[in-house]
Amino acid sequence: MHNKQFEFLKSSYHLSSDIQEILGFINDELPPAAPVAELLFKAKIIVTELLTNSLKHAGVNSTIINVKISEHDLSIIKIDFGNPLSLIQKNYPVNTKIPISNDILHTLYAILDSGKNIHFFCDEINMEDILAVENIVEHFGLLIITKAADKFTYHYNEQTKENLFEITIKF
Amino acid sequence: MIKIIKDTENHLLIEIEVSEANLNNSDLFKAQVIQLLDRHEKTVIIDFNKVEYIDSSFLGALVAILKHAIGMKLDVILVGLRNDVHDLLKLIRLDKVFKIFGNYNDAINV
Repeated sequence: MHNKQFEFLKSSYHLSSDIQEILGFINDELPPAAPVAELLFKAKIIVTELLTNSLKHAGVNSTIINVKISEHDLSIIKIDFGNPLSLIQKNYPVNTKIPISNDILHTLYAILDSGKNIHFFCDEINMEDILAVENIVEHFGLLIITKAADKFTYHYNEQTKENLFEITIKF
Repeated sequence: MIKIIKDTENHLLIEIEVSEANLNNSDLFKAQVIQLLDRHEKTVIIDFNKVEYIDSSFLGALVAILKHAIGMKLDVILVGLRNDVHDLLKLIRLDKVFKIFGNYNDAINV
């Protein structure tokens, strides 16, 4: 297991170099048999969205990215103390598939489990009407992470106000 | 942010002049391209050859531009995408709503 923690202060974000720093670690530590190009592509778009999410949302002063690499898994964990995802404030029933966005291309779902973790996944939709472009959503952050990951979970700790995004890619 | 490379009877060819297409410039990009669509009333071909990476904010801006163009019965065509950028569009299936070509000549010879 290889593990490294990166901390980025919002006041000094340099997205491109911050992302490259993380990708450099992943590239160095992946096992020789791992599909390196595919994993680096997925890690790049996931880390980009995680850091962009911190930049966009109020209350985030710093972001911690923790990368763990084991024999068959790459985990990327983001922790910040900004405002929680609005999903957490809705009283969704436990273990129920809730569509949180829907267009002609995808339906993105969230499932809240009994441990107050939100799991994201999506279905692709068979596009029948190419002209219905006005129906396409303009927010892709959660969708990109969901589609690049094998597992994507969000947890908000009400006591510590910690947002934790955990992404796993299997290889 | 963008530069007009060619202005023909039927279309405008523009080039994105930044390598990082992200949250920092997506609003400006959207405003500039929509202004071009309104002013020229022509299909816009956007050359991405200088763009090394793109994030969800910029993809959102692209979709907003496409919606604006379709509302005017025009189109937005993407050319010169690097592999990573093209792969990201394919991942979220935006390759099914945008016309994408390797380069400008391919785009105009269809």
